[in-house]
Amino acid sequence: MLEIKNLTKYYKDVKGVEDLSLNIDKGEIFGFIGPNGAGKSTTIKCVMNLINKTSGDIYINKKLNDKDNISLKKIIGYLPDEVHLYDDLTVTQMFEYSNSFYKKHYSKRIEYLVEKLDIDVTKKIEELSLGNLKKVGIVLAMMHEPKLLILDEATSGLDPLMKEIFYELLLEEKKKGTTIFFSSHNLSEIKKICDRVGIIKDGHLVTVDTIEELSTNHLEIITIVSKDISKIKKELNQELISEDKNKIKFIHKDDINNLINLLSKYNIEKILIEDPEVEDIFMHYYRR
Amino acid sequence: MLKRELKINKKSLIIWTSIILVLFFIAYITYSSMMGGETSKALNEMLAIMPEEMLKMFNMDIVDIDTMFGWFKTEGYTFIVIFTCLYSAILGSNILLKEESDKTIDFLHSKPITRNNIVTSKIQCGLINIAIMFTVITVFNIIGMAISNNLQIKLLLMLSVAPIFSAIPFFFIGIFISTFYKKTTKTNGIGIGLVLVSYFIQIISAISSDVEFIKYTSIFTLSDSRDIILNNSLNFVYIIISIVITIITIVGIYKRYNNKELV
Repeated sequence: MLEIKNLTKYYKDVKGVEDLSLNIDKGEIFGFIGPNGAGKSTTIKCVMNLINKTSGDIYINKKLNDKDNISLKKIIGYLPDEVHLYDDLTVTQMFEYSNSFYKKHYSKRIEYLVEKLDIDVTKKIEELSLGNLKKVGIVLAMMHEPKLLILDEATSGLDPLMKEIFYELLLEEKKKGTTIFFSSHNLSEIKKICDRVGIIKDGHLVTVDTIEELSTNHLEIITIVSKDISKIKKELNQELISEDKNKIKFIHKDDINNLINLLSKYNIEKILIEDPEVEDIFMHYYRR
Repeated sequence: MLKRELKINKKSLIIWTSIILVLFFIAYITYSSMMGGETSKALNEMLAIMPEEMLKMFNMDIVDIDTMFGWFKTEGYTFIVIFTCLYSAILGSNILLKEESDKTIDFLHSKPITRNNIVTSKIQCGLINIAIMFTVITVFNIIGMAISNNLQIKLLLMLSVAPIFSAIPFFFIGIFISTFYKKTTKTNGIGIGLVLVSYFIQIISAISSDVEFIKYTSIFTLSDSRDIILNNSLNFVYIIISIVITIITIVGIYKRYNNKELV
């Protein structure tokens, strides 16, 4: 449904993203995660044609997604990371204005979303809190029943209850076959709703995997307690998760037997080998 | 989209038009009670001692200002030109850029419209507003002149239309400049500055014949009333130059906006 081919974006000499390629299938919820400044929003802004690509192509439904492709714009719903709307309008007027760009009337759909998200439609946009503004943004992105939803930090500003309702809405959309590109900082929500996840760091896509694959990726969390810890640390030459006197904790990716051979030379008091949580795996990719 | 644009810009149109109408209303009231007899004589005596360049600057060397229409052809016309051009330049520098400056472009650009559609709607709205402003001012002056028995309809209509040949280029130059910026706070100042510098150039060129040539660098020259008053006809060369400037800036606006990074 969404195919990004060798996307590169430079802001003058500063790299935004470089040679990023990914494919999102129809009906899939794809999580896009990475630290601040990694290139998530840049990628999304390129998909939305808000900024110019330095190179690369983006296809939606196998059609080139250029600036003036109105037929593609009709099937995209977009929620930016910060929602900015027209202060002089009421929420109802904002929905009407948004609907005026489409031939079909979506009043029933709007009604359904408004009820789900508990929005006061009589309020003016300027009176809305950040969370309520986000909820209006969600309705604007979903009201025209798009085939592709592009959500940039969709849940920031929403309270936990509203987040749950929003996840429900996304899963409803997924059932209908809607493809969802979901950028987030929140690991737990990625785990909860995404089929696959792409991890982006310094403008590069580090890995794309299903949540299950990521968890069973032969990564182990190793904790070692030893009086020889400084020597072990030197020989391992590995980035650590934590360090405390005679104890170190790190993520190990290679064959575990190699590690045991290496450690056999030292006096080990305790060794703990654990399966990592998804959070640990993300941290592993972030730190690399 | 056009409907909404017209609604947003309605307030400033009313304010700017009202300022002009209020001034003209005061002028009509004042002239009807003041002119004639001793006052006219005193005014003519005062003008007689004013430097010729000064009189030329406001067309007072070719027009008697002891009638309402005389005032209109001098100070009144200058007032209309400056205010309509200021309004047009500010409108132009805001109308398209406002979406980016307020960050509402994220919403607008995600709708099934092209960037050309956005520019066209904004231009249409601006031109409709400018047309409304000129129509209201013209109708107001026709009524005012008729009531004060000063109506010379052909010359009045020509003098009412002429400022458009500066106002429209200022509007489009304002939009064109805005395509280089991200915030309206910067372009507002540039728009106002451009109008004032342009007017200043025209004033300087009228004061001395040595620097008369610099008037061709001023957009205000395109709506110079002197030729209209002297020849009782519009200057078609200026009209063509105005159209050419407008077309060039329109092409520039569409080209720049289509390649612009909107966030």
